[in-house]
Amino acid sequence: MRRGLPINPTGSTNAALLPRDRDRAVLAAFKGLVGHGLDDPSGSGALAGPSDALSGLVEGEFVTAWRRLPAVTARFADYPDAIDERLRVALATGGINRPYVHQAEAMAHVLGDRHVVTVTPTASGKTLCYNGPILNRILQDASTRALYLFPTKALAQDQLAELLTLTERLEAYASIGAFTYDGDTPQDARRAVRSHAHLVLSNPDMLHSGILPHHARWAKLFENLRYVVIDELHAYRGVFGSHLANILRRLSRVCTHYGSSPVFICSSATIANPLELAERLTGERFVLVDRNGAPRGEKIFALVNPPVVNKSLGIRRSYVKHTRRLAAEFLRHRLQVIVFARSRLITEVLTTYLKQVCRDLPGGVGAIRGYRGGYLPLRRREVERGLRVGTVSGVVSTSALELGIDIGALDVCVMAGYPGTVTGTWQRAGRAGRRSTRSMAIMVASSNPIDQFIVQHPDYFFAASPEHALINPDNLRILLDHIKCAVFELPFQADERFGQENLQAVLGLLQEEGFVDCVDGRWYWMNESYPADAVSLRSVSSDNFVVVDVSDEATVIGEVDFTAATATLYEQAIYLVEGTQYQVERLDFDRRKAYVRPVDSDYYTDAITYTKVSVLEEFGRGDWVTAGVVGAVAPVRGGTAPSVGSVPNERLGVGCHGEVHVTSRVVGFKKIKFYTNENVGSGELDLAEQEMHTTAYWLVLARTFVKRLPFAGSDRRDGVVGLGFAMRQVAQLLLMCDYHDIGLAIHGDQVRPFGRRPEEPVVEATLNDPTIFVYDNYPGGIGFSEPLFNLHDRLLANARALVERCPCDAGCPACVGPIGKAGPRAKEVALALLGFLSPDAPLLGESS
Amino acid sequence: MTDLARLRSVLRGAGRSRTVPIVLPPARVFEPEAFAAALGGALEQGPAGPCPVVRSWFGQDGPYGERLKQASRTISVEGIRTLCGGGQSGQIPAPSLDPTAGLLFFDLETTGLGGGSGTVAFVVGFGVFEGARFHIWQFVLPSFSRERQLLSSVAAVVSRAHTLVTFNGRSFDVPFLDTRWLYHRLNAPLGSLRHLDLLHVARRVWGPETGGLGGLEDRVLGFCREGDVAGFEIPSRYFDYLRSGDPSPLRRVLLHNQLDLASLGVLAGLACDLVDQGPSSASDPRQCLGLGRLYERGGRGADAPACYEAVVAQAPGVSRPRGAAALTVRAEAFYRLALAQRRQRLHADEARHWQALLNLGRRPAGFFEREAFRALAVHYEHRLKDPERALAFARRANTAESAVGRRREAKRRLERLERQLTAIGLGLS
Repeated sequence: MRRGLPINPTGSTNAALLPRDRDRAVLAAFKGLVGHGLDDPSGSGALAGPSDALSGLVEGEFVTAWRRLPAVTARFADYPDAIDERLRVALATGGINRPYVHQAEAMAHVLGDRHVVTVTPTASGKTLCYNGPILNRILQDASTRALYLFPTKALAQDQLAELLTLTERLEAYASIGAFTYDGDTPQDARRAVRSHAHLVLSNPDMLHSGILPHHARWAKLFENLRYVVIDELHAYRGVFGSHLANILRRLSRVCTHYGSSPVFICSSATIANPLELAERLTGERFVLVDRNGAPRGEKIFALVNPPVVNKSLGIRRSYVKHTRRLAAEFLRHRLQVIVFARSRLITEVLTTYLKQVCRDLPGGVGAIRGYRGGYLPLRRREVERGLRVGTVSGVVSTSALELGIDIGALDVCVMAGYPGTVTGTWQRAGRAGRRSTRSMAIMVASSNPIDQFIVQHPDYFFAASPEHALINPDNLRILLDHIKCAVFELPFQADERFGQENLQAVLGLLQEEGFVDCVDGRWYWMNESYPADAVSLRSVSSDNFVVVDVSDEATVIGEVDFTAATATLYEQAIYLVEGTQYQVERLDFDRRKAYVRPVDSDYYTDAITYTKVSVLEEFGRGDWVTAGVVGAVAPVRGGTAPSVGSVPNERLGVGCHGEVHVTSRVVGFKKIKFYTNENVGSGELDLAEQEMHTTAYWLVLARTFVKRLPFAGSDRRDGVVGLGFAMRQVAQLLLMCDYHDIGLAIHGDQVRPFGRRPEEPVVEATLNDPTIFVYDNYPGGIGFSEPLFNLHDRLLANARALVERCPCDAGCPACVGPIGKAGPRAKEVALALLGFLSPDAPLLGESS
Repeated sequence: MTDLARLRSVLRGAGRSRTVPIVLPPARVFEPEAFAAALGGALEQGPAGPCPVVRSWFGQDGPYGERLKQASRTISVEGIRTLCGGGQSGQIPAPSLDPTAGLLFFDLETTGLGGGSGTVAFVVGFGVFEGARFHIWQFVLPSFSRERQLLSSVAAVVSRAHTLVTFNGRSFDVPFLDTRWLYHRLNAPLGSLRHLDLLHVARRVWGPETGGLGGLEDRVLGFCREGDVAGFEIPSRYFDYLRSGDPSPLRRVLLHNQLDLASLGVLAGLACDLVDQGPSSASDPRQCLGLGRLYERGGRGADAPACYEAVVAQAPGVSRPRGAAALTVRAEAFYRLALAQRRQRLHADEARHWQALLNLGRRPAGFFEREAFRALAVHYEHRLKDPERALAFARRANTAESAVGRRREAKRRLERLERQLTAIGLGLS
């Protein structure tokens, strides 16, 4: 070893940095970054807090805002009296002499048999909040059993390792069995788990299909079930959460059958409604613990906006390329970096870029890895381990690494694009951050409207409350599936309830379908099938597509879930795995297989989808927006809109919500060149339609009103499409949901041949009024439509503010859609429409 | 949309309102008594209430009658003990005059094969020998709400037996019924019984390719069932009954269950006979080999080598069947002989059999070959101190081993021997 270099016991590429060096490297990298902004010292941003090392750095065009989150020191408390001395000693052996305040508080609640939900950031020691009181109880009563639920198998494996070190230290006093029970557990080991495990670490899927339907085999667990731990509570929103709520309803029935009633211990990342979510999921009353006592090093959080390269078109430099540049810079400073991308595709693209950039760095190409769902487990474990020991210095991931898998703490987190939610952003940012040293998180805005809004209104982001996690356990489709499972597990009594629906009516229907039978007033399962098999908790359909590389021997290289398959695995599509390109040669839809072969292409592909919506039933309709003043003039930035001779009380538009039928079909794809993002070709596809019964919010525009606008027919149509585009963005922000949670479809007032501009939502020929649908992208609906209906006024007002304040001339991806897609006068017409529909709009981001 | 119409539309797929209701005949709930009578049985009182029971006797005539009579004579206490895997004889009552006493043949018919709390056993069939006659009685479930009575009656029967005889009962019937008792929070009594699972015996002595009970009837017993109900059809017949109230579809299910039990009786007799008569009664080398393995498993290891000797002693070309399967049988016999001799520390004989295994002409299956290479390498290195010959086997073992641990071991041995030989060559040793 050369003198002068710090000792590097792991032989890794980056562990060579000592904490002090690490601190300096983060600062140096950050100064370099802000340096770009110094070109424009008159930048609008104010100095964000004095800091010795950072003073003089100014926010500007490039770094639009940065905040310093000061280091926090630890706050400790005493163990609750009831905590066993033996457990205290075991914890002290592991370096925990006193618990943090939140740990002590949570433990006290659990010891008092109160359901508790703990909300604390990443790496704050939340596991002690449940492991402590549970192990304590087992030491006192060896028959005690606990069930731990994690959203993924990987997390359970991860937690098991930690639990085992603790149970080993208690070995002298009690033999405590802790096992994972999931799809990977070998058949012969399952019996041992059922009889020996005090602590069963599993996931909702396994509870749903492997444990509850076989509850008799688990009688010992259910008879003695004292605790149910639900970790990463915030992961259970939308469809997944709605499923879990029903699984917990089933769990509760089974527990009642065996005479137990467990205490729930939940932990969550920061969300707006942890208590409400915990209570809706479990049906129990909870206490909240959110006073965090864990320490944290200083963190710098910066928002970055790539510069505008074409002002009139509102086009900025690619955020993906920018992310690459930043990440490469940090890697050169020998910092460990995690890059989050919003899609699997971008993850692959960025992995490819960074591998090229880092060829000459220590560790070489192998030190940069990709990580996403669809990789095989072995590959993922390898990356996780590499991150912990330091052999991997950069990882590009989808949200897959957002959850608490132990990858150690990294130095820098770069987010390519706004993650879509405040919660998700802080979760991802939490991946960078050590207890003692400085760390940094950077969000690089894409040209998405929401990204642009966040990056241009940093105060909105930094002050924003995290999201509400919405679930709808009574979504009919989900409820029906779980009622089948529940009746399979235990017969229903004539007076029993299960969710809000009329259970007896549902059972009557299931009887009609031959699933159940009513005998002596009780409902019994009467079918050969195993109902849990027909339900997938994470997507609409339970069957995944397998991607098979046929170039050499046929090898499986990945998986794609059913819903995404038609949009990613069509023939000729480029499928990327860790930067390697494969082209799909054949899609065997029936066998759920895509056959691919490695190719070397300079483009990737993006699917074009056609969507049609028809209303099945209207649940609610607001008041028509009517023209108040004769000859009303819609105000438009920089002038006035053409006046429209409107009639007093003329109907202009109305918001509705209800049940709809959505048909979508992938009709073609675009070839997009790497680096330049040019559209270099397209192809047509003819794939099977996908149908869905769901809920939607929709805005009906009176045909008479639209027709009277002084624009050409095609411009009016473009305007309606542009309005839809803007509404969809605002809806996503208001609902605080993911991009894919909602869909947009627009029905126009005139015939328009399909295929001329295939990339836009197709305007369907109807004789009715033009209608903009924002639908819930899950069969049966997951509860977005009604809130959106109730937010109708704010939706329009904010859409108007978004379009009005957008600096582009005639439309850009941040408002009514990119020029060339939206049409030359789309922005103008959309504004005119909004001027009438929302005449006195407050500004976006104003008090919520 | 009404509640039900809305539910229908979600359940049956969006948009298409196939709202034509399925009209079912009103469910007629049979009185248990009438139900039992319709199936040719009667209600019998059990600990938790009455349960329909259908009784039948095999033994007078027909193909089963003669074979069952024969079985009742060949079943022996010692034979059953060996087939059960030996041991546990302390729990078994002293050999009575009738070796079939306490033997309970057992088979279920269920509403699904996947298991899980929503599937139930609607026929629990038992068979016992009563002298030369085979008495079958079946507990039949008249409705889901009567399962508790059925399970209590079944438990009462089980408590009078000491050995359970099943086909695949270890994996299916016993755990299945256990979960039903657990479900009703009743004691599960089957665990206290000795268990003879004829599936495992059959695999050894009649070969894995005979398949299930049907295959054994065909190939070993020479029976052929006509008009038998297929296994997959059984659950739907029960559901048909529940929907219509007409128990007649169950008659064939009961017959199917009876034939299963009767075949179990015959097979148990044949297996006992084979075990008691020894290798000379085996019909072919594979059965002879399987018999040896039954002895080893049944605590009669001393009787096993004779079986293996009988396999290898057969003059090649005379009664020896051709093909790779026959070669594997001979290889396994050598392998098991060698292992038996190793246990008795007869290492010279052991080595001779390993060598014979390798001399079989065509190459035997990889597993046996690897075992032989390794054993001979050890033998020459440690016992005979002949590193040169040991090296030859170690080399072959090194290329043949596939498991990671074994590979490492083989590589180490090879390196050690090479070092040793180099040392000898240099005159250092």
